[in-house]
Amino acid sequence: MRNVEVLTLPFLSRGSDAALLLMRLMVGSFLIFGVWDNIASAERMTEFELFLTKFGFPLPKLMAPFSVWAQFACGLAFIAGFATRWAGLICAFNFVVAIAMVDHHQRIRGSFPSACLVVIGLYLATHGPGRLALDRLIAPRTLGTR
Amino acid sequence: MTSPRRLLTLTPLRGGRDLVLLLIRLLVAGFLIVSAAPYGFQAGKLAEFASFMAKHGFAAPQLLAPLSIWAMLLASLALIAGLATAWAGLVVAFNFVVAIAMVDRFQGIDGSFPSASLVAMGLLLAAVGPGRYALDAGLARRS
Repeated sequence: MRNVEVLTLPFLSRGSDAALLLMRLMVGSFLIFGVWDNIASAERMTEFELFLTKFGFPLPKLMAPFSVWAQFACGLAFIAGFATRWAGLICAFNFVVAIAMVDHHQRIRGSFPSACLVVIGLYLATHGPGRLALDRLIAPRTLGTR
Repeated sequence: MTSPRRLLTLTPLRGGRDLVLLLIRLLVAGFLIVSAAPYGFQAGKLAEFASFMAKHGFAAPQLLAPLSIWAMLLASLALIAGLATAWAGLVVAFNFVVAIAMVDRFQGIDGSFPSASLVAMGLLLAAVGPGRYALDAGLARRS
């Protein structure tokens, strides 16, 4: 092994699809977990509308279900690896708004989870879901590796 | 005209991948520096962290506390520079797997999510590398 390979460990690139799958499953299930109570309970959806109103969102009655269902759809798309780049863009947009409107009041530590969802969304939007995904069946040559 | 397949998969976005990898590195490194620096540089804070670790059942907290803090600070610098990024990613992932197993799991899914994200992003950087805007990429080009 050459010196530069000891530093950069290029053989780890063989695990890039597994790392992407792990990331998609982790983020996808977290997104679904985060909105499931709003979907399952009308009361929790109303609570979320009140939360949006408190933080100055326009049209909270429309925005609350829109945001909840968008997040749920992103979660499913990440898990399946279907329309992953669209889901990544929507996820990133959703959590940029969350930081701008809500999380920035809680400073860096409070904003970090949303910031992770922004960058992970952007990564999936730009790189795609990897080989272990439904998107690969549709466009087999979109895989990127280092 | 854009084909439906191209529209669904948005493959032209690939061009932004290296920039997003830089963003991921800066986010992870920035967060780790903000979290770990006070323990590394403020008197008494390291002892506070060691007693936190002892409370959560870590072995040899007097040794592991500075080791963990300095590993995070060094990994942060490596991620910012994009030097030995794969090693830094592995160190970050390992550190936060331990954090989840020993501490965060008691705080439920919401409480574990930041650490889980750091594990996932660490493993991602270890596997895909730091992207074009990194010293590793320069070294690989030269070799």
